[in-house]
Amino acid sequence: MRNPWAQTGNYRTSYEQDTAIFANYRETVSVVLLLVALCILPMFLERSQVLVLNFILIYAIAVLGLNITTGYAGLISVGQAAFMGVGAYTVALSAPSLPFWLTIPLGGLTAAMIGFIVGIPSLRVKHLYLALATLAFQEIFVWVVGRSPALAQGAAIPVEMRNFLGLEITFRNHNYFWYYIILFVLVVMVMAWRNLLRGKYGRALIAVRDNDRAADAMGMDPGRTKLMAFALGAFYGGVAGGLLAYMQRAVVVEEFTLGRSVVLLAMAIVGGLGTVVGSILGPAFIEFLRIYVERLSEWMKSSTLIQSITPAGVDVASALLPLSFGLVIVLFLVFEPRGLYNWWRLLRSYFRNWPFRY
Amino acid sequence: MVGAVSGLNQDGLIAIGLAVFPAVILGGLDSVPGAVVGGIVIGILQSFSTAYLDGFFSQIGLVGGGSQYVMPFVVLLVMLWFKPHGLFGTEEIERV
Repeated sequence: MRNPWAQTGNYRTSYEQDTAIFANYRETVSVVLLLVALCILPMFLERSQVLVLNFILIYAIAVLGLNITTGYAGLISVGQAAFMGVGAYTVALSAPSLPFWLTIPLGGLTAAMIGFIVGIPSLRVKHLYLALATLAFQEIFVWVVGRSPALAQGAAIPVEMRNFLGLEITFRNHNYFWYYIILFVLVVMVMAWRNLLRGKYGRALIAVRDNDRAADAMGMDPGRTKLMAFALGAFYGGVAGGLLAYMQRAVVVEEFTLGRSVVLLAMAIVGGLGTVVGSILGPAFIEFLRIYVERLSEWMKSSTLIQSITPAGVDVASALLPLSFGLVIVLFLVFEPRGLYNWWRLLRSYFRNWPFRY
Repeated sequence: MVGAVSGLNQDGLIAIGLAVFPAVILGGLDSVPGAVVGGIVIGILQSFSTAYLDGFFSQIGLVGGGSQYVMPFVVLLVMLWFKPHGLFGTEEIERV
């Protein structure tokens, strides 16, 4: 290409260009700049703020997985939190004997195996029925963990890591250390995601989502594709769960209940299904919403004016969080089903075409 | 009804709301008699599993029982594997 920096659109003349990871020169540069910015970001943040970032990035990994199962293959899964739980418990059980760079992939692989089994009903049923199968798995997981003495009946199992290559991990640098690890894992997972879905397998997933019988007639194997989608999504969930276990220094079953699964699905929808940008914007939006709404309800509890307006015996402040979550999900589904990703796309195309309208 | 039988609380309502799915899938999603039969079967299953299965589970090393909350979902999974349209539901025929 003659002047790559002056490129104004995507002119695709070959299949290689269509499947490229970076569509043009500008995208490569902006991704590198973003990564540099993310690397130096913790230097300006306090410990508690880095913790929020960590949570967002971990959920981003889980939502990436959900975007394979739900976004690409169209199989609605309300069991992603349980897959996170499988990864987290694998990490908790193997952490005393293995280093963390082995336990986290191990957690992912265990979750992928479980995901393969959970995906078996998808060979026969779809839509609502399949969602119910994943719901059943979610409930069974919580029940089994909550009753097993080997897993402390769902109470906290400590996951300790005191030093890494001579670097002592203390209370003070714990969040910063894990921020870089999580960021690294997220970058690897995003690259793998793009790499996997741009080729044959990604297109098979889309074909199966749009019409699995037609895909079957065209020579794809819908059953294998669906099982692969489930296993891959569960792998991402398991890795996210393993990271969560290390970052919280403990595993508790309350982290992996149905409510969390629904929140992960909400994150995927709010961000925009089937997009990388959306899987990062969605968790960020929901987490910041949670933080600010919690702050607002703290303020409402302390303010005497609000107390005097609201009827006695009605606790508006603590109802605010579920209310705002539900409202945001419904509003997004009604007004912007393509999610925050669509806003991002519009914003980007505005700046790219400036000063022209389009 | 639930409130009249066992008193009202949020967790109880959520548990009932979730146990509805196994009942309705067992009977068949588009069948009214199926819903009645499924509801009765799931209800009986819940009571029986409390009576018979809890002791068995504590013998094999799972503590605390409470199998009435999970057995409906096991039935749901088995139904989805072998007879996804339920006992009385009509089978869907799909074309491209």
